[in-house]
Amino acid sequence: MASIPKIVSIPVKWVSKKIIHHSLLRFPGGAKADALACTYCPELCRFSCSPSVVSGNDAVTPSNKMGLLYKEREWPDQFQDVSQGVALWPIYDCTGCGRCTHYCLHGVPVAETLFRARASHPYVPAEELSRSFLSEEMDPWGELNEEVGQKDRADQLFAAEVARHPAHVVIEVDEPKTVHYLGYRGVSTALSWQSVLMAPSSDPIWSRIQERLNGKRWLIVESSWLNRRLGRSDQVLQWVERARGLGIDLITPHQTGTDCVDTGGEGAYSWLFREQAAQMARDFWQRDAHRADSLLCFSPRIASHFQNVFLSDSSVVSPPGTNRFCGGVPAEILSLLELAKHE
Amino acid sequence: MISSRRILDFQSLPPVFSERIGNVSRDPHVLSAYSQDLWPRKLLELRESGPSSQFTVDCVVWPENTEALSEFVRWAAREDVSLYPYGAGSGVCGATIPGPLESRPRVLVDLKRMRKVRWLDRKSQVVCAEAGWIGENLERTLNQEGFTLGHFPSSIYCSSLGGYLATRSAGQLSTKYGKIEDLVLSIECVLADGTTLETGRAPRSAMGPDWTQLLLGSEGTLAFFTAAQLQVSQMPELRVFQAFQLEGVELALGYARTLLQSGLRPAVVRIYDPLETQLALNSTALKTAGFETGAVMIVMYEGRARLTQTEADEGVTLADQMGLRRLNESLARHWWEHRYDVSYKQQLILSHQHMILDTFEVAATWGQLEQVYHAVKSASIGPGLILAHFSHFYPTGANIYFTMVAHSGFLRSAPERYDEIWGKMMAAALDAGATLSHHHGSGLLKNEWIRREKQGWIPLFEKVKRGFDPENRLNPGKMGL
Repeated sequence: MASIPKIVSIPVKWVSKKIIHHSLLRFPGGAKADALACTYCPELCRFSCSPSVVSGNDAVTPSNKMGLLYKEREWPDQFQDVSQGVALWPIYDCTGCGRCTHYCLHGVPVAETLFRARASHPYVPAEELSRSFLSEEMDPWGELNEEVGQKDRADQLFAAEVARHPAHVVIEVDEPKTVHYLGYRGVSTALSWQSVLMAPSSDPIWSRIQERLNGKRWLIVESSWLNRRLGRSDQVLQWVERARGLGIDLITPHQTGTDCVDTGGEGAYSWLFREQAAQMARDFWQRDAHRADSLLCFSPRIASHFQNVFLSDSSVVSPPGTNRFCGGVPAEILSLLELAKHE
Repeated sequence: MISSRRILDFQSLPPVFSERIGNVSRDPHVLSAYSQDLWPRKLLELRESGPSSQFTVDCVVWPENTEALSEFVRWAAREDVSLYPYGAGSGVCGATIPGPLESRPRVLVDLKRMRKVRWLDRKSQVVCAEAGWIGENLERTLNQEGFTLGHFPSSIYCSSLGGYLATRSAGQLSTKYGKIEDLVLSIECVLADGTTLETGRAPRSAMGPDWTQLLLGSEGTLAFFTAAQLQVSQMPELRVFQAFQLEGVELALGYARTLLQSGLRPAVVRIYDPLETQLALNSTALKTAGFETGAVMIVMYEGRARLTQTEADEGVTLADQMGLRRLNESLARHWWEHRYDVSYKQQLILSHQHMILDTFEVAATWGQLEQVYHAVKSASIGPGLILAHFSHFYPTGANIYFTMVAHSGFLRSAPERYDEIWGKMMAAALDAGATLSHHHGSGLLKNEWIRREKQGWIPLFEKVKRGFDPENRLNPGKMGL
């Protein structure tokens, strides 16, 4: 007799669990589920979102950004009333690092959804920035225009611009709030970042890298946004391992290692949210820079962002061949660049 | 929509605050985001009715240091506005949401920009951290210095130190490290008149009453918390995981009591009742560990290697003596690796029409614990289930964490049913001898019920409140007032 209830209860339990797992433990709405999921989620990704950490503003957490999209879609009339005609600016308050997607338990492609949403939610400052990127002065040969198209927004344009710019930057730090660039000559001006990153340990370039980097502790400063955009995250990690293997004293930032750095110099962010971007650089500086003798990065834009934040030096001039994407380089570096040309 | 409350005069703001600088905002997207926390009732309202244009706050400010906050509080006193401290907005009781009766302009003070580690005293193992730290970021920072706070609430990714202090938070390893009130040496706070004070300077003091313990858990009604001195511990060398199967919770509770009263201090002790074991634990992990039926108990010891191993061995000896069936430790490891998942999965249910979900964490002494468990489990909540686990243990008692899942029915609104269910659960727990919150706090959710539990103390707390905040400016309408 005792086994009869089990004969009934075991399949009943099994069926009940299946029903629960296939109904209640999934977000309703099929394709619409992403934004819904974030609206109800207690934000596993919040801690990893640099703009929300630096601003402390709950309007710019990934969850709230997705919630805005959900509310706008589900209750358009009410949402208009709530937002009072104000653009959906929080969805632009994003460095695009993609860590919200990385940390999402539900597998929601948060960053990608927000990127897509920007294309259909105009924001005047970003529009103006896009226009300036595509202007004749900035893109005289129309390369950017051709590459990403008129409809793309500021951050896409920016990624394309950075991707085509070869550079390898070494930043020397001799005291807090003072930055000296040893410039694009750090290893070689002739080599693109691709060449430096992808060089195997046997490549002669490594002897030059060792020569340049040995004797000091270096902190690698990389933009996770840029690395993801350019598909080079793994390459950067491998490069770090290779350098360490060759005895170079290379450390990664506190908190999340190599794939963590938001200095505010990422994408269009530093133009659209200047004060926050500057604060991000200051936070990074206080948290990490003191641990090393010098900083090393593959992104000239990060270097120029540090420069903008920490130096208000009127002697800074732009070297030939650079544009506003890469910022200026201090005058003393120009001579090094000139020297490099003749090497 | 413009509120009927008086419009604030922003011209008179202290110079360090302005919308141009970006530390003051009246932007509708900002006000909307700050008009709710993670109180499930608010999520139900959103699900049922859509976004409300009636923002509960009129302005949000982000002070960056204690001095700026102090200056702002003085301004608020001159302008006669009410102030609401805010951390990461992950409270589940509505503690940061202004009550409907407050007629003064409402300013929400978000402390998340206050996120410095002011100092770390390695010799004393004390850190002074500002209130705006997100828990996960603070823990990572301490780890890199070789220390741990030992405070791991399941909300660690989205909750702040200030919130922990305001609600007397508990972490998953509280059985070893203690709740936040056990980790605090001193709090720096800004009072309603802008004065800044620190509550302590040593691990213990006999120089009068303990102001730290008076302020902890006051949910912003007495003062703003701007920083705290916290005990930190050395990173553990070893973790030992154990898992057991038991017929029911009674035997498991008996074993937990024996562990604690024998002087052992496991970092984690968790007992899942049979229903929660079936519905909430991973079925593959259960099967792999050799689980058949009944309740599950997970234990984890951590600390210095030899000491930890000795404690764990002693725990096993006691388990054998009491006839517990050991499961493969993989079950405990699986829990450890997924320990933050469950609260996020719960939200899946809440997103479905007519579904209601919330959690209710009570505490009781060993003498009352089983009685409380059975009383709440048998509360008549209509179509729904009440799951339970026990997760924070003391030599004198433990907490019970109930998860309620219910259907609102098709004729009644979900918020209305939600209120009714909560009423029944809280009445059952209170009558059986429990305190109605172990670590979530009171907020708007339990504002009526704190009066019932504390009864004679509420008039006294009113006097305390008047002493700290004579104009009732700080988070008015909370803590049963």
